[in-house]
Amino acid sequence: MKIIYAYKGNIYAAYSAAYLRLKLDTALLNEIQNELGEKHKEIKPYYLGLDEDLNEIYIANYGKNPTIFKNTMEGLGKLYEAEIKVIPVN
Amino acid sequence: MKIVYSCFGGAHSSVVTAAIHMGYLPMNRLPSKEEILAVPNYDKAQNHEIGMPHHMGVDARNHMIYIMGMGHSRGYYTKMLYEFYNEIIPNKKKDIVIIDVTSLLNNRTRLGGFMSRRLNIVGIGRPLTVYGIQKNYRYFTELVRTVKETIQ
Repeated sequence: MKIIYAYKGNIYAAYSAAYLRLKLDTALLNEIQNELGEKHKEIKPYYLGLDEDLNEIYIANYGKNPTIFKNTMEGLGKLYEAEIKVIPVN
Repeated sequence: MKIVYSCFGGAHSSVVTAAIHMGYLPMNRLPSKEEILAVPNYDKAQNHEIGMPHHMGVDARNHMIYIMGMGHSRGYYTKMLYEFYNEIIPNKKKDIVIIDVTSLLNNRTRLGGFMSRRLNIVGIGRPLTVYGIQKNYRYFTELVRTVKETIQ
């Protein structure tokens, strides 16, 4: 499965959630906190890694509407029989 | 190939374009109000469904035809979809195209769609959307003709 942690303004919260899932040390985020926004200017999902269940973990900006983002991404997955789960982080 | 016609709410312009593509509506004449209203999914999408792809059929060249509403940020979500598509299917030849048909709309259909889908004044809104679609119908057929010529 592909899991997308989707955020609007708070990229740090999305990274924290993803890091917890990946069992990474969230303290590491403190060092790069100010750079996160700069690194995510492109419109695309950013791959972070595999969790212990081999789910692929992504981070993405959900844009104006989290419901539309969730429907489009999960809908794309259905077209290609790929299991996708969007977790909005607010 | 998967062809996705997208618009604001996935209820009118994308549905009509997909219906023309599928042959549910005619290419060479103006359809009647009844013909337009008989198209599957016409003026049916609910707000919570915006973003979900709906299958409209398989055309004569075996292309899968879908409709999808994307709200105000169609450019953003289209780009995101293409990028994520590359993640899901990295090694395959691109087999999806998303076509925004919102520019074919006129204000009659916009107003009718808003009344019907958002305000739930279906009795006035729905006929207004049909009237607007009929006014611009030639643009819809031109687009479908171009799509069919381009995507073999």
